[in-house]
Amino acid sequence: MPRVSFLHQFQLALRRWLTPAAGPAGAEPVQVPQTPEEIAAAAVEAGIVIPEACAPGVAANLALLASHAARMREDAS
Amino acid sequence: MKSAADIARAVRGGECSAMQVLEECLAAIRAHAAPLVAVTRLLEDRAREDAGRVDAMIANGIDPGPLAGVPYGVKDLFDVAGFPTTAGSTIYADAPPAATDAEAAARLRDAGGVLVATLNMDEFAYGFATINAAHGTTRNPHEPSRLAGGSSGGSAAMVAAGLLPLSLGSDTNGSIRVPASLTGIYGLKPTHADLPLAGVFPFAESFDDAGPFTASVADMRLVWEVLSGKSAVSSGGALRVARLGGRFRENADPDQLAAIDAMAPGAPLIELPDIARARSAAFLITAFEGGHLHREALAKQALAFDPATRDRLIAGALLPRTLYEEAQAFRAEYRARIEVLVADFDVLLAPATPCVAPPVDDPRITIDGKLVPARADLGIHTQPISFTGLPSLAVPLYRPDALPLGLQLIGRPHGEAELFRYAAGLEQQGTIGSIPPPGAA
Repeated sequence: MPRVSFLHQFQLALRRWLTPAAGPAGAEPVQVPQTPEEIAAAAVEAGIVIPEACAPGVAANLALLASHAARMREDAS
Repeated sequence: MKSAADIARAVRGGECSAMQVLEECLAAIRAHAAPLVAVTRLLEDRAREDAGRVDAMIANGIDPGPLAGVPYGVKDLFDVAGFPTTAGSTIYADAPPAATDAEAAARLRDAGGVLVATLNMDEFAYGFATINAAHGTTRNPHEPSRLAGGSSGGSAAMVAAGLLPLSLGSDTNGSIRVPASLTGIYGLKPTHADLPLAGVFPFAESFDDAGPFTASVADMRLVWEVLSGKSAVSSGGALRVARLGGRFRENADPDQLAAIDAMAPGAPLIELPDIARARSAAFLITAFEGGHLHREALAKQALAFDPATRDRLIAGALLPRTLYEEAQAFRAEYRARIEVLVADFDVLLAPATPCVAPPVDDPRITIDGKLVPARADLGIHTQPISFTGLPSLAVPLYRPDALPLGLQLIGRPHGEAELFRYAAGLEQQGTIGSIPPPGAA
């Protein structure tokens, strides 16, 4: 059992309490990193070195998540 | 195997001992379980201690409880005292042993249950397939060349095969309901966070739930009462039923749609708005929470993760936090909207999976005319329901000459009792029901 679980839950809850539900008015919606440069920058920020064997899979999964972000932002039905 | 209720009745009545029940169960598991690739750890010593304790209570005139002597298993992410909790990963194989049982397992034990085994899963519960690099791929008892579904596939396969009368799993986006549908048994995702999660290895805490698998409605109700500490008392009166339309009637088996229409002819067809947006937001929240939960381990030893999960987890760890917060804001608004929309109904009917179990050697399914990975997409009909937090009971269509396939009975928040009442009626009519696979124990 990872001992980070309680801390993790606490952090997630705290962030939800402290963060506004939406970004500043007029701000560009944040995008999922997709280019090699964006992915590399996000990995540095996360403190993760992406192994070579994982790079294609990570890029494919980020592309999938980008499509989900786009769908989530579609106009309401 | 007898039902949980029948076993408990026999043990409490002195017709047989808990130890006899256990030894028969262990013998059946030793004889039949290996080809299923469902058991990760057989807890024989622990089980004999539990069974001995139940028999000692009966000998002393003490009622062990409503699950007296009932053998059960848990998905490999529930804490079991004395063992590391691995969540199906080799990364935690040498973790410190759990000091106590997970709360859900403790409640079953306190009701007389006998824990027999830990059961296979997708690593860290990230998948609908139970394809696990460390333990192997769990097989469907009805057709071993097909998947059992996941991520709680081991828990489902053992109950479907008749080797255990009940088991526990976890459901974040469908990980109980998908394998229940593919193996032809009952599986409950409770109202979000209503059943105890203490001591359960997390995946995505916004959606994580613990829940049982059983082979009958009566057993499901019994186990839910033990786990929740409540009585399943339905409000009485005619149940108000609706059919879910729109996306839920696409990518479904014709038998599922025919059964839904036959169960509730003339029932309103209601459409949950923005269902594709909801599923996408669920994907984003799950990816972010799962990725960030494992971020430190990914930074230290990414290649030690199961190849089937590591790329997904790394991608989740790279998602911007503001996107996650945007998805959470949509979720809060969406849940409120849906609760108003479904307030006039006790039961909503929908497919549980879009199809029968896919083959192990080609684990893909067809969605919108395209072949897609079963591991990610078998939850197309369950994931949006998790997003709402509503309870959902997966029930098996009674199909004697076909592979198993299930429906979801979706309730109002805390409306499990109505779901059990409706399901019991369907079971009595013969519309739904679990069919043992050929050669079942």
